[in-house]
Amino acid sequence: MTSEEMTPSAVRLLAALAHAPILTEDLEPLAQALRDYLGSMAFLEQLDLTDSELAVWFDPRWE
Amino acid sequence: MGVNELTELTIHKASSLLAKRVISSSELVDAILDRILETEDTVHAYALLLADSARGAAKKVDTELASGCWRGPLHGIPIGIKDVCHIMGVPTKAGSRVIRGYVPSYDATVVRRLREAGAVIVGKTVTHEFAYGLNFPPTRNPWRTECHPGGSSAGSGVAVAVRSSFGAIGTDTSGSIRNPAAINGVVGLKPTYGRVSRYGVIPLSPSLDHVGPLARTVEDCALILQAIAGFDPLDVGSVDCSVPEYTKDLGFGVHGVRLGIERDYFFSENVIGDVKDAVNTAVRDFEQLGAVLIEVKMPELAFMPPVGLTFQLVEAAEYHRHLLSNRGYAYEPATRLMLELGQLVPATLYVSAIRARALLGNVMKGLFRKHHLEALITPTLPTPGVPIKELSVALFERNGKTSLGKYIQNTVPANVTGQPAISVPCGFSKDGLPIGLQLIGRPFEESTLFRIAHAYESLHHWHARRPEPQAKT
Repeated sequence: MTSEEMTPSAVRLLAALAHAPILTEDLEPLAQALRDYLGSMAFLEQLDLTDSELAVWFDPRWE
Repeated sequence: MGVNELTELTIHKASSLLAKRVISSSELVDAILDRILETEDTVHAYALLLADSARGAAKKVDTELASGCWRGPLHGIPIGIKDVCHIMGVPTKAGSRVIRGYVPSYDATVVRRLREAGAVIVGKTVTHEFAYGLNFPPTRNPWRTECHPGGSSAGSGVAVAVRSSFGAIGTDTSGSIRNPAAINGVVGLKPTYGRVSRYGVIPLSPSLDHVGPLARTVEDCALILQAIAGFDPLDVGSVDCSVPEYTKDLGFGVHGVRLGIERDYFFSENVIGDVKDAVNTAVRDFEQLGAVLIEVKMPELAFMPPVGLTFQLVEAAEYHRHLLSNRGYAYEPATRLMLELGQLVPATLYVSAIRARALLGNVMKGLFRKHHLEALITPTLPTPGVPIKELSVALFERNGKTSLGKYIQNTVPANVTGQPAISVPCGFSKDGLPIGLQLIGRPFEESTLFRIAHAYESLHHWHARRPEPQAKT
């Protein structure tokens, strides 16, 4: 789904699938905010992350 | 000494007078409470006053001082605490109706450390709702009441500016200490990530959250940081790293200090002429003082806002998930919208943001090492205070109104990389509003930032100007 297709009804469906509590009155502005956000994040695709591994710090020791 | 004389003292000076018993902590607290009475109707810097407990604490301090016990520079000094930090037995409201009635049973580490240093807590300062910075709280800009007071540590910045507190604690997730510091004409430091414990502070985005001081002078900021810095096993982000004496090198000057200037991002078209002029003048001042100014490039800076925004959206949404389910209607609409949005961000984008953060940190480290920089110098904000009616709480520009999101451009990089950053007053706009310059330093080298900022502050004394807030008629 592209950011342009992020309509209020699409947001309602997305929220239901994600079990995300969203007020009905927020669907319209939320669709707009999600379009804006996803649009701005497309820019991040230009950053080459090939050599940047996911830094997960996890210590399995019990103390 | 009269109220005005007492409240005009810096922490450093007041502390010296307290130690010599020329003044008492009770006199300082009474002066601050009087000043609050004079200013509060207009600026609304405090969410809650703790007058009785402050008077009680001040009496105890005076007894200790009389018996020869001096705990250090904050002993007996009145301080304000942003209302996202827990104080035992005192309601934390976080600028919201959502957690109304919540009374913590413990002190945040930052509060406990201030108490141990002998500071007197006078009240809780106003915050934007949950420090998100998306609503308009009652706090007013003391330089022009129709203008935005900055945020989210709005009350902390305003209280320090109008002298209704000697110093204050703020939190900073994308600029919330430096922003109100710049807008109100005071000094604000976001320490290195992990330097000051966040335990007992309501989180916004744990990957980016910092706690730090606001005060009238660089030296006062250093004195507060001295009291609150240090490892805390109760904060998973806390770093076990020795704490230096922050005021030791304050007067060493900047001769030979290398400062980087990145213009493409930090001096972008968003930055208005008055701000550029003030910061460029400061750059020349630094050269006069013997610093070496180096023009640098870092095109990757453009990725900082989307990376920071993704952390903030997702982590805030996760923290508020249950509250949003049960009390969603009680949030301010703009805050709720961002929390709802955070729930819909693809997990893959969050992971990309984590990977990008590591990359951006490495690029920044490379920049500092390549040019042997001690700090970057930037405008703190693109503009001084803006009339509230011209601002929008929307994430992006809408209907010709300026988005509050625009204000994080120059501050959020230090949250993404975790570097320390300080905002210092560097002049006034043509219409009389304060302007701040930002210095971004190397991790855990707050001392260097204090030294550089102090050298500049000593030239101009912008910090000595005091707003006289007038209620709008």
